[in-house]
Amino acid sequence: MKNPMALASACALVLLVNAFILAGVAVNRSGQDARLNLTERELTLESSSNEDSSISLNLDVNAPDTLPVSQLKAMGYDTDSLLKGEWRSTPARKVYVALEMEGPAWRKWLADQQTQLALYRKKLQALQSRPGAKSDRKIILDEIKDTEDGLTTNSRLFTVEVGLDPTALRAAHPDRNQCAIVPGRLELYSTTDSNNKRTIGTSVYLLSNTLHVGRDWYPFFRRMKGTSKNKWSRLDGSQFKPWINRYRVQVIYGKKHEPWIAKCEPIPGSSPR
Amino acid sequence: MNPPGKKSGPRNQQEAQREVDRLLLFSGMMEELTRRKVFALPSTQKKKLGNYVDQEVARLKGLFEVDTNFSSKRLSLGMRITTFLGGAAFCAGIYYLFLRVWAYLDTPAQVAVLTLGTILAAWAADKAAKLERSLYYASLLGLVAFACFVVNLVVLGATFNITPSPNSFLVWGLFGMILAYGYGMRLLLLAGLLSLLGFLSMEAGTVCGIYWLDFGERPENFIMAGALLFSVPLVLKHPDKPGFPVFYRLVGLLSVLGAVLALAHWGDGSYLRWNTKTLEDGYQLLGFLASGLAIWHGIKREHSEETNIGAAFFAIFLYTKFYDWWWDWMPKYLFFLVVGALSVVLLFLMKRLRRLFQEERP
Repeated sequence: MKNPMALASACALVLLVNAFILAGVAVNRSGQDARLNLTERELTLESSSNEDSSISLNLDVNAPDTLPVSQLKAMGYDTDSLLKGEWRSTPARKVYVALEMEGPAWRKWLADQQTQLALYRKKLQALQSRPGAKSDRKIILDEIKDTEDGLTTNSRLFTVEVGLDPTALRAAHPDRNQCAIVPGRLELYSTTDSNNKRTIGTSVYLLSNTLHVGRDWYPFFRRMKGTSKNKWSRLDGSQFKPWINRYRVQVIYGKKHEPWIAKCEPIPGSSPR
Repeated sequence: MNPPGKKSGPRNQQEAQREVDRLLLFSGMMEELTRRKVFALPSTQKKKLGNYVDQEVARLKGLFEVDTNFSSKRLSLGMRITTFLGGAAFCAGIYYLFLRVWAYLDTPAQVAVLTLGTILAAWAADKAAKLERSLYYASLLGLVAFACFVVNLVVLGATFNITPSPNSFLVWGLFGMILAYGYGMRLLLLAGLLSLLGFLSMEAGTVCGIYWLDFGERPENFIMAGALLFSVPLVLKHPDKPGFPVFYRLVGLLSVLGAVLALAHWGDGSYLRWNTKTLEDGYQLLGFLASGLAIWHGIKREHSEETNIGAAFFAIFLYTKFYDWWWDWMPKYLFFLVVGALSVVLLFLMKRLRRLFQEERP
């Protein structure tokens, strides 16, 4: 027997759910938790098949391999047992991640890279006078090229803290133009450090790391489809073509820590490849 | 049993099909017994019986889409499979069509197309259900409506960069259940139940502190969700929809026994922080008990799907136990011969059990 209310109930559910989702979007966009100015270094064009006409940008974040034990303890992990080797399958948890743009973490990374470059150049100089060290020199040269390339392409966005309470994270990182608090997922795994001592490795993933691009900017991004900052896509003979960032994007994180793209513009002097 | 003279016909297609099958079987047996000279009905009564069977079958065929022979039954099964495959193909087509065109629509148009598309498909399913008794086209369109609703939420989530949530599974499940109960569509019931199973398992994981998408890392989430769904028809009777409780039992039992089987070999996946070997042994024992209970309950309540699933899982638990005990040290030929011999013993025991139940029932 057919229920005469079935169609009305189904339609009402569809309309209610859509209204609820759109209301949630309106709530999120009614306030701003953070506003970050990013470039192609941090937001790369997502590759998509011909079946998908939409365009999205992927957020590229530098996340640490380990987190301080105090942060893990604060999130309720039994770090003592984990460090003793009483390792059981530990499922991932929802967390909040503090993302810092061009802050102290970025400057430290830059300094580390410059130090590494200096070391490589010193090694190369030592190998110049050594006969039969051609392959070693090539390896060092490749490392130097990789490091120099990374200085112009690596994302300036770093994960600086992870926690369960976004309010506490915001209090610890109050600059809303430099730091965004975003929802993420934290996984732990057993590993050893450079001294072969047991430690806890961490993998931090963002829950919204793909940003949908509005229709207005499709012509601009469509010209760039098929290109990326990945160095192997810039291979020209035995050399890598240098990378120039082509666009700036302003991303706003709302009250519910969900992002949207506020502005896109090309960087003057660059051209879509 | 109805009082004499009081006619109460079948309420749905399944009851009507059972009635037709019984009438045709009865008529066929009467002819066969007459041919074997076991008895002979007077010609007037034989004619009266024949007329009654023909009229009743014709009446039920007119009211419901029933099969009156083996060939049409096989064809009906083929039509059901075709409905499912056709529905799945339409769903995939709608998804890829929308992926192709959505970039050319602005955001308000995208929202309108997604919402109206779902409503239109549900309206078409409603119309088809009113025009067609067998519900093949209505089920196909209902499946399309369900797929449209899934695409609706997925695309909205991607467009507005919404943090994913398990609540989508709840609303998909509710949508499927509304169409299933509204029109008697079992395919939509299955889609709704699977969505609700997903939601309940994910919520169980979230309550226990894990990220909802990783709910599979703790199979106990499925035990809780599956047990809940299995118990629904025990509480909510379905007099108008006799085919529905089967799906609750199927989804619930497979979920529970599947999870117990996983934990019987992966103790690390348990929420309990006990010794891994103790957990695996415990879940293996629970697996034997649960599947044995399903066999017993299925026989008692005449739920063949429950009995069959229970028997299948009992065999799986038994054979995996044999593997644990003997595989490493026993010569392989001997292992398989022993397992084969034990299967024969198991068959013998099940036949004795079946004879016992047949003797109990008049």
